[in-house]
Amino acid sequence: MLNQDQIELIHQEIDGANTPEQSAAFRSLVERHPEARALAVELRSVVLAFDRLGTREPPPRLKHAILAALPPPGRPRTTWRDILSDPVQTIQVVWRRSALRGGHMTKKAIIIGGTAAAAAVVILVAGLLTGFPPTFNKAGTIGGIGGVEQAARYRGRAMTEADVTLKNPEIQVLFQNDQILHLVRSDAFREVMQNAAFRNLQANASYRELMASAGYQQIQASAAYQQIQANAAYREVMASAGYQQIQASAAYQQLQSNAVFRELQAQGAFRQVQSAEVAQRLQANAAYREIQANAAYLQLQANPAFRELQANAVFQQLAATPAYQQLQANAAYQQLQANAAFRELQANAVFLRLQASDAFRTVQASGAFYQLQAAEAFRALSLNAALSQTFMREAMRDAN
Amino acid sequence: MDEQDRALVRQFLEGHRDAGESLVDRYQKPLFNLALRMLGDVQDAEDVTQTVFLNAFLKLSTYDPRFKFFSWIYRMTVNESLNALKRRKPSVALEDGPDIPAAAASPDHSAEAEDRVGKALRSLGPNDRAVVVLRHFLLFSYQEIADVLEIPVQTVKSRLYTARERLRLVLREQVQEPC
Repeated sequence: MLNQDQIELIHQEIDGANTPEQSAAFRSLVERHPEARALAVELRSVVLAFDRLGTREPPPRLKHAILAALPPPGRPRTTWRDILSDPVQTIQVVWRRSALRGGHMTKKAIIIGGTAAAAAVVILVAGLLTGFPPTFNKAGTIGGIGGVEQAARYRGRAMTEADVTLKNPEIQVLFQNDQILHLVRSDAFREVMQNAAFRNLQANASYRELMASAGYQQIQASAAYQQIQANAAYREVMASAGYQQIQASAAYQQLQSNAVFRELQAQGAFRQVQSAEVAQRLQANAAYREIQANAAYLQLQANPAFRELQANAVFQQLAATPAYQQLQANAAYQQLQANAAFRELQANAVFLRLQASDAFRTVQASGAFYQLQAAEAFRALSLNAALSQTFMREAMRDAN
Repeated sequence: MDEQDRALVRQFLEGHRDAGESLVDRYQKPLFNLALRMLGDVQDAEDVTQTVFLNAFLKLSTYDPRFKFFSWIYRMTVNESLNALKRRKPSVALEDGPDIPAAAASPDHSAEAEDRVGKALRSLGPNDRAVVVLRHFLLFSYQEIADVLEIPVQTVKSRLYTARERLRLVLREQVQEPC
């Protein structure tokens, strides 16, 4: 039976990591020990099996795809993961960059996509905590002091813990991020989130599949794509009925005869995007073709706020996360987004102050709170309209 | 090599796109192979490689030149591969995962050998697999593996020896199994 030192000696010899003295000891061991000899032979055969396979040449398309997605040199960008992994450092980096630009922070720097999921979850949890919006047969008036009135527009099925995975660690981390609360308040973010076409699109499975695909994210992140997105002719083509047809059928000749399209085709950035391997793979993607033919998508493409959000690298990464997709696909979330009173609440300064308060966030992040939420008694209690109003008043008083 | 990497990073940050392309040329093959052996699927390996390069270039300004660039980018590839493995549906057993099509150019790249070694690799846990791939496909030293994975050298050895022992048994069983 070989001891651990002898086994290690054999492995090190196989790896060529032994000193001359250790190699001599190895030779001596295998000469006098059949088990050691057998082990050495078998391990060498394992290594040989790997050696025979060697390394593979990557497909030629790989380099093209990487280069097509390469960000412009010398232009550092902040990613969602940066913010999550080290918010303090990220803020410092963004601050330094903004100082380099003369102290002016761009809108894009402010619209960090991570906000979308976090904001929605913060608000959802606030809803659970305060009982807003009141659910089936429990209609109420947010902020109203004088009584409860049945309001049909608030009716909906009761949300359960299964609707949104609050225990998701990504979401918990997002909860703790000050940037998120800032971003929820940004006009551009609100504008996009309150756009009905955007909400419809987010609920579309093909769109979510597309957003999660690596190919789509790469092309979105490419400088050429961003350049082409800013091009008026391109936007005109994208919004044209002819383009919709080409995406859905074989109406290509019609588009070819379009002067604006020809002008667009002559542009270097357009050709670069079209010829990229990743773009070709994207064109072959059924979900991509479906979404391109979607009227809501085309309408949104014409929306500057949407284009800005789409071109945001951080948003693209966020959109690919399961947590975000889960949230967007959540029926309760979609219902909430469509609710006029909810949107009003989102814009309510007092509510935003409440969300920003340390006490509120501490409660949200606590494990005990999750356990409490899961308790049937708590959920029943939270649906009580009078209680939610009382709580809301108290919470807002504290926030003030 | 590391000095060259640092120079290319610096040049890219100064606005030279060619420097970025040079970094891609230097690293796309080893990173692709690392991902390929970790994941056992060409398409997934391509996706991981692209993602790693994209993230690396986006984060290049945060790279600390006191550390080796190759350790940094290999670590990103290992982590991205581990993430890709986690994202895979749990109902799909690793042993049933997609295999690597054999390259026709070389007789050593036979489908049988790919299949045999691929299955043996997939029998390992992801962390052990990472150590084996870095050692046997990228020929890293113990110290280099430790740097990439940010674990002690002794842990590298321990994982490597355990993994090779398992591979030895799996490959032996494959030989004994009737076709």
